[in-house]
Amino acid sequence: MKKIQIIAFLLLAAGSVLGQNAATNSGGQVVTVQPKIMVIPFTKEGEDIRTVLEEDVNRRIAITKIKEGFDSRGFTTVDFVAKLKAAKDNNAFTSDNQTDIKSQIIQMSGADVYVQAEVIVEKGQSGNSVKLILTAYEASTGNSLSNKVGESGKFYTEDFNKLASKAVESCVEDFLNIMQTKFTDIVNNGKSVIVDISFDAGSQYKMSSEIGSDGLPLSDQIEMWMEKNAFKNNYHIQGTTDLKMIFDDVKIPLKDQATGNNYNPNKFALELFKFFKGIGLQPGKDVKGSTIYITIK
Amino acid sequence: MKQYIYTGAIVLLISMVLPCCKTIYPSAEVNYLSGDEQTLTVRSVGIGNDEEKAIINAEQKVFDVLFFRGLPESKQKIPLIGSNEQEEKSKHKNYFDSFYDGKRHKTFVMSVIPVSNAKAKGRQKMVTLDVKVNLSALRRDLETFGVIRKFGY
Repeated sequence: MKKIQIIAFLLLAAGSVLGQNAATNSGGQVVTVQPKIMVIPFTKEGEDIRTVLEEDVNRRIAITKIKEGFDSRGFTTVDFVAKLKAAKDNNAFTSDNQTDIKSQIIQMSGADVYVQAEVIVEKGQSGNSVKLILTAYEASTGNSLSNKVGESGKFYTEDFNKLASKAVESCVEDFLNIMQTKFTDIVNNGKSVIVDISFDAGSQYKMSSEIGSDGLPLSDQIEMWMEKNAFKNNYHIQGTTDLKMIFDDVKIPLKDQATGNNYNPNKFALELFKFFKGIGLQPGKDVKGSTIYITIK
Repeated sequence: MKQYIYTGAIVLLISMVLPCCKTIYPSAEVNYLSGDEQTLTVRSVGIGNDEEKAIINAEQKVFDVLFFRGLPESKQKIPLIGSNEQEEKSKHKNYFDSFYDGKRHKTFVMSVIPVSNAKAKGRQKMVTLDVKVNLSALRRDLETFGVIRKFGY
C-alpha cells in the first residue's frame, strides 16, 4: 500500500514539475505572436521629436487616423506618445542627437515594424491641401513593407486638421492591404533576422581557422550550417572578414515546423549556440530584437 | 486511300469538337464608381435567363472581382483573397457554396440601383446595376470563417 502511495506521489510531483501549470494550460492551443507596430512622425534633421507632436496638431491627427486604420482591422499598435513619455520619465535617452532618440524609442519599444508618417501642408491661391507620405519598415532589417502617398485634394479652407484626416483616409486602406500581403509573404517564407558572428578580443580563433573533424575553415562551416537551417534555405551574407561574418537576412519560420509552437530569434540563436558548441568552440550569444550576436571566445 | 479518308474525317471531327471544349470566361464588366474606408460602389452588368437571375449575376460578379481580381481605382486594388480562384474556391468550398448558391452574398449588398431597364440579349436578359457593398463587413466575414488571415501574421 505504501509503495502505491509513494509511486502516486512521485507521479504527481513529476507532473507538476514537467507539465504545464494548470492555471496557464491552454490545451495545446497556439496563438501566433503578432508583430509590434508603432506609428511615428517623420522628423527632419535637427527637429526635436519630443516636441514635434506636442506642437503640431496635424501630425497628431494623421498619426491617430493611421492608428484608427489599424484598429479597424482589429490590430492594436504600440502607442508612440506613451512610449515617448515613458522614455522621458525613465531618462532613457542617452544622446542629444534627435535621430538617435528616434532609433532609441524604436529599440526601447520593442517594435518589429514602424510606420513613419510625414505630413506636408501646402497653401496656395487655388486652395490649401495636405499631402501624406506613409512608409512601413521592419525595424531590424529595414525591409520596406508598404509605401503610399495620400492627398487631401485642394480646398478653400484653413481647416488643416480635416485636410490631414482626408489625406490619411485617401491611402490608409491601400497601405494596410499592401502591408498584409507582405505579412502573408512572411508567414509563407519566414521572417528576417540578422546574424552577427564575431570573436572575443582574446580569442585564438579566426574565420579562416580550420575547425571540427572535417578541418574546414570556420566561415565555411557556418555557411554550411546556415544552408541547412535557414528557413527554405533562404539567407544572405552581407560580408565575411577574418574577424567577422554578418548574415544581413536569414529567414526563420514563424512556427516551429516540428511542434507548431511559435518560433523566434532566441530559439534560432540557441540552435546556433549548440552548433558552435558541437564543433568545440565556446560561444556567447546575445539577442536584441531580431538581431543575433554570437561572440566566439 | 481508305486510310487517308478515315484520317481526314478524324482530323475534321477533332477540329470541330475542340472549340466546343474551350472554356470561355465571361468579362467581369465591373467598374468602380465611388467608395470610402468601409463601402464600395460599383457599376456591374449581369446576364441571366430572366431579370432576377441577371441581377444576381451582376451582384455576384462584383464579389468575384473583389475576391479574386481587385478593383483598380478603388481602395481594394489587390484581391481580397487571391488570384487563383479555382484553388481558393475548392479550399473553402462550404463558404463559397453558401455565399454564391445560398445567396449569402446578399447580406453584404447595401443597395442595388438599376441604371436602365433590363434589355434582351439573344434569349437572355441583361441588366446594368449600381451595387454598393459593405466592404469592411465582407472582410471581417472572410476573416471569421478563416478564408483570409486577420491583419498581421
